[in-house]
Amino acid sequence: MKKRYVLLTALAILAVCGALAYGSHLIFRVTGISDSAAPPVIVFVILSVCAFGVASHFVPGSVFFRFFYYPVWEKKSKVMVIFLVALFSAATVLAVFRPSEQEMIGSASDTVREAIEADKESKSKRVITAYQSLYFVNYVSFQSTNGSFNEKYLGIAGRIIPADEGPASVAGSFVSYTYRMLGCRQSFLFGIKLTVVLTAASVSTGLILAVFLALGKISKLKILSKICSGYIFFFRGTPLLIQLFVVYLAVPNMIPGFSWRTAALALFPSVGAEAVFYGAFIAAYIAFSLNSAAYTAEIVRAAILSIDKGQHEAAKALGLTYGQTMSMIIIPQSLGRLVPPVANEFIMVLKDASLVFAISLQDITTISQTIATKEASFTVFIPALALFLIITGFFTMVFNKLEKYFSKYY
Amino acid sequence: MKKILALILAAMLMMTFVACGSASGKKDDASTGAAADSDTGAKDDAPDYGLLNDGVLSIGSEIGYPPFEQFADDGVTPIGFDVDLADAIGERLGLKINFINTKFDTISEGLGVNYDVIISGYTINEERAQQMILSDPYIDNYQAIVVKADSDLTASSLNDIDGHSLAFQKGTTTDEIVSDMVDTGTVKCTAAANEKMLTCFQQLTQGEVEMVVCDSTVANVQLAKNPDAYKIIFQDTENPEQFGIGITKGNTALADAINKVLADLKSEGFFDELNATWFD
Repeated sequence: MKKRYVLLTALAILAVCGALAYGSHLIFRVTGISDSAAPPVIVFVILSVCAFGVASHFVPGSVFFRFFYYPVWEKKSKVMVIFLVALFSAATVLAVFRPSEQEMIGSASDTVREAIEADKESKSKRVITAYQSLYFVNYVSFQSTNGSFNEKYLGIAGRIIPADEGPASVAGSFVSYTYRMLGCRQSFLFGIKLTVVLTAASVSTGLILAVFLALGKISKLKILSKICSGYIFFFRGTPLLIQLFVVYLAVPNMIPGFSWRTAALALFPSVGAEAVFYGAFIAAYIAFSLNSAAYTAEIVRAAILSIDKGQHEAAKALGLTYGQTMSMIIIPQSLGRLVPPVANEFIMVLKDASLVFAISLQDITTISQTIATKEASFTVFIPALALFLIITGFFTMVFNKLEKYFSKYY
Repeated sequence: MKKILALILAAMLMMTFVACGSASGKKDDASTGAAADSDTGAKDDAPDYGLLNDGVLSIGSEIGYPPFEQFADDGVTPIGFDVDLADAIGERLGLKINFINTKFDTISEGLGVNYDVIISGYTINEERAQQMILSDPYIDNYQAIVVKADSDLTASSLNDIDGHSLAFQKGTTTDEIVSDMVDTGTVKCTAAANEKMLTCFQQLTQGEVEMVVCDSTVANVQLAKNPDAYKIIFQDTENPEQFGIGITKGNTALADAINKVLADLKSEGFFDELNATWFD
């Protein structure tokens, strides 16, 4: 099949899946199941993976579609996908019968209601109303800043249960903790979103930089080789936390009139007051990318050097230039060997992302720590660990697939 | 040649360790140095205060909160308002003083485990009173809003942080007050919570945030240090806060003794002296 048609088919599939996902979003919103973007995204991912799997039957010639050709999937993955789809469907059924936000807030006792009424005119309000909803279960807590009341309710499957003690209290606190660590109703600079976005962005940028660094280091040009070695030596030899501080605090001091906040405002003028966190994020992204590039460069170098010398000689005999040899022969072969250590690096960065606490960003680790110290409740670490395992589990699976895919031909 | 080089390197490495060893030895001397003086006055029949280590008052403190506590230029000796106060208390009670540097936002958890008391610019409030015994207050304090000297922001109440970006230290009373204001919907602001006070002021200098909210005592000292850089636009004098000493729950003997010492020091004018030293 011609490349053009492959591309068109892929685009058509994505468009249809996108439309269906958007439709599901509308249905979710009208029926009041969920307002957030997460369920439609899950629908979109499931639909498009399935559609590509089916399509791969009909376009077997394409490398792109072969990635989704399901006979090459192990049985384990199939079971996994079925399990996830079943879980999602069950959650959706529960979500239909979930009490609404009005019902949840309406369950407050008279004392709370009076306090909320009094708050409406007051200049300094006293009631903290936290309504937190995780797709199929929701939780509301009313807290007074002076500690005169603290009521909690858990809503699931059409019932509203007081969550002041017993299993309901534990379940309620887990809902609340997970909600906060996921950074729901907040921008991507909080919680799990920050962790994943920062890691994915900086590792992929780092990987691109690393290819050049590695090629530079093994280059025959002495100066280039020394510069690249020096870069790697510096960034591997100093702690990431200090690099982060240097980028965030020292760089603006060296350039008069520059601050990360104004830089963020220049790039994204619409962020307004959140520019503080955008600025910090940009600084973190730069520091993490530079650091990750140094580690990944050594991985790339090792992968390139591991390719048999005969390949170079054969390419030379065929009259290929150095650039052609590298881009067409050596690097494609090294990709399969590259994936496992890069996956390792990815997971390391994922956990190192908690270092952003130093520049006032809040990732999962920081949020769980804040909750643990503020509420003196150490059960918060259970959902925190579970979230980390889910993320690493997902990415481990993706990297396993990538490894199989890249090492199939060689 | 290589072997000789390796030997020299190994020797240098050893030297480093030895040097470190002696430095940390010195540190011990320094941190107990103040106590050594008071040691002469220590009585053998000192009452039992139920301390973690006999004869030593271990103090939990986040040493990085000038003027209350910070490290001197040598990087190991704690100095500051609270340190002088602790020395005075140690002297009166006949105890050695040992400062234990700890993170402020987890400071209450280490009480009774790692140290006997908290002297760390610790504000007295209801929540904390439930977790520990709090001594009588020894200094008054207000929430203050600090901005850059060339800023044209003004404020007539703490609510005027509405709509601005600000920084404060994590786990402090400022954190509690501002978080409550945000959570209740009283104000909408972008709040950067940091581990260290100094990071907050660095962010202000750099222009990452528009204001810093902190204790007035801290703000005054920052202003005294950098008179051209910052200005205070508001002090919440209507809601004063008071610093006290946190004491392990149940240890009333120590609490009574400390309260008595504080009362004595107050009547002797000790705090006027301290104020003059650290705030002027």
